[in-house]
Formats: sequence, structure tokens, C-alpha cells
Amino acid sequence: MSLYYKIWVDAIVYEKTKHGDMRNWKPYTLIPISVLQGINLLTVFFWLSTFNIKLDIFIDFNLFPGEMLDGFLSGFLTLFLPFIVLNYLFVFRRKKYDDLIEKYDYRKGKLYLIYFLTTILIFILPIIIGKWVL
Amino acid sequence: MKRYGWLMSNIMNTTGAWDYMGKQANGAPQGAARFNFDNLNMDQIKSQSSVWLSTFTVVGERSRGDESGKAGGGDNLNDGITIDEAATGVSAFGFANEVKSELLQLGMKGADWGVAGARYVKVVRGAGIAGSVFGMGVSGYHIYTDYSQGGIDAVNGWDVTDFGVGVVGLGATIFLASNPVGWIIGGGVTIYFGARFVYDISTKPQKQ
Repeated sequence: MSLYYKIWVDAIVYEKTKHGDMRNWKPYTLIPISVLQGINLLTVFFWLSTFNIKLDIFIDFNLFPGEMLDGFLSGFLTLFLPFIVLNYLFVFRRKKYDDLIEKYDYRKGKLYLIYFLTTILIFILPIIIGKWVL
Repeated sequence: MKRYGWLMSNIMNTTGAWDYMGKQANGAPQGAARFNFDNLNMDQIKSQSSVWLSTFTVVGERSRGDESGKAGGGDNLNDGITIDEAATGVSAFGFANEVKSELLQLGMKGADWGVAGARYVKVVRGAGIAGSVFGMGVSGYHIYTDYSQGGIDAVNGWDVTDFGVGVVGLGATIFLASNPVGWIIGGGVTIYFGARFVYDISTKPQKQ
């Protein structure tokens, strides 16, 4: 949980420092981090699936023309929305981020960047290697 | 010797625009005049506290006590000024006033551009993150369902590409969006997923 809050503090202060003039740092931290956490969850299920533990985690929809909107709705509800709600409760509710910023050090966005790169690479590299390299 | 600068300064200050400095200051180009904007809103002139005008050559001095070509006598402005001197003074004032107006307009244009630019960045940034989240949501869903059903060979290359484009867009939105490279990437990602969406709707069979 400590690492979770440290990443949040790094992301919030980084966003405020770099794009503070736009005055919309809340959605621009909440959405990207929730997306990254959704990818973390997807990575876990992906690796479980590799070991034949296949869980049908997605809610399937068949509402819109084409496949993209249905896929997005399914992905959004399964991967992103739960984390948006949880992050809001853990970080934004009652301005808890103010206490967190006091408690944890700002690392100039490095921790945020490392979290971003690690999340992406752990998910996408095995797929690229498995599909095109091996 | 008396400077016309005081006249220009007094009149200009009624607009709160500047404080005229007639004499050449240290570091100024030859024949240049410096205008300080102490009373001007700095946002309007893009944070420049002073502007060098290399074409401004009229200092605006007149001499008194010159007996030739006098228009009159005494110390007030109507006396002791030749026609040429008066014309020079008026020209100097007119030119300076024009320069002031140009500078103010330039400042205001700059301020407008700044506001428009900031709005543009906001829109592109919002579009970039929306496009990225959309693309990553779709591709993440497809990659997982394809993989769990048919293994790594069943994963569609387009989905991996979409995911990669979404990652680039998200990364640019977070880490680069305050510069033109970030704008271009964010805008490009949105256009890419917009095109993919139109292609998807137009090529996939309609649902009953």
C-alpha cells in the first residue's frame, strides 16, 4: 500500500508541476493511473491464462455496430471503472491526497515513469516475443 | 535644451502604457530608444519588461534661444520653436504613439494567442487521453479474449498495434503534452483510433 501511495504522490505532484496551469490535474492523474492498474490486472489474468487458469473476466456486449465500441465498453467496465472508483475512494475522497503529499516524498515523476514503463513492458513484451520472435 | 520626452511621457502615461526614456541607455543599439512598461499588464506583452526599437531614431529635443526662424519668444511651448522643430516634435510624438499602439496590439495579439494556444493544448490533451483509453480498452479486451481462446497465435496483430499506439498516446499525454511533440502524438493517436473506428463500423457486418 505504501508503494501505491508513493506512486500517487509522485503522479499528483508531477502533474501539478508540469501541467498545473491547466487546472485539471485530478482527471489527468486518476484516468492514466486507473488505466495502468487495469493493465496490471490484465497482465495477471494473461499469465494465469498461460498456466491454463482461464477466467472469463470480461462482460460481453453486443450492442453497437462493429466490434470496437462493444470491446471498449467491455474493457472499460472490467479493467478501468473498478480502479477509477477504488482510486477515488483511496486518494481523492475528502482530499486525502493533501495528507499523502505531506507524508511521502516527491520523486520528480521518476517513480511514475518507472511504474508506467514497467506496467507496459511486462504486459506487451511477452506477447511480442511469443508471437513474432519465438 | 529640453526634451520632448516629458510631453510624450505625460501623454502616454494617461494610458498607463509606458515611461519614455529619451536618452540612449547602456547596451542599447545606436539610435535606439527604450520603452519601459512598468504600468502595463505584463501578460499583454508576453512577459517582456522592455522592448528595444532599432528603428526609433527620433529623440525629440528642441533648443531654445536660437534666434533664427523663431516662431515666438519665451519658455512655453508656443514660443521659441521653429517650424521644423515643431514638426520634428509632432512627428516624434506621432511615431512614438504609433509604435506604442503597435506594441499594445502586439501584446494583445500575443495574449489572445496564448489563451487560444492553451485551449488548443487542453483539447488535444483531452482528445489524446480519450483516444488512448479507448484504444487500450478495445485492444486489451481483444488481446485477452483471443489469447485465452486460441493461444498466442490467435492474438491479432492489429490489436497489438492498437495497444502500442494507445500506450504511446497515454505516455505522450502524461509526459510530453506540454510541448508540440506531445500535441502531435496526442492528436495523431486520436485520429488513428478515429480512423480505425470508422473502418471497423464500415467493414464489419451490421448486427441484427
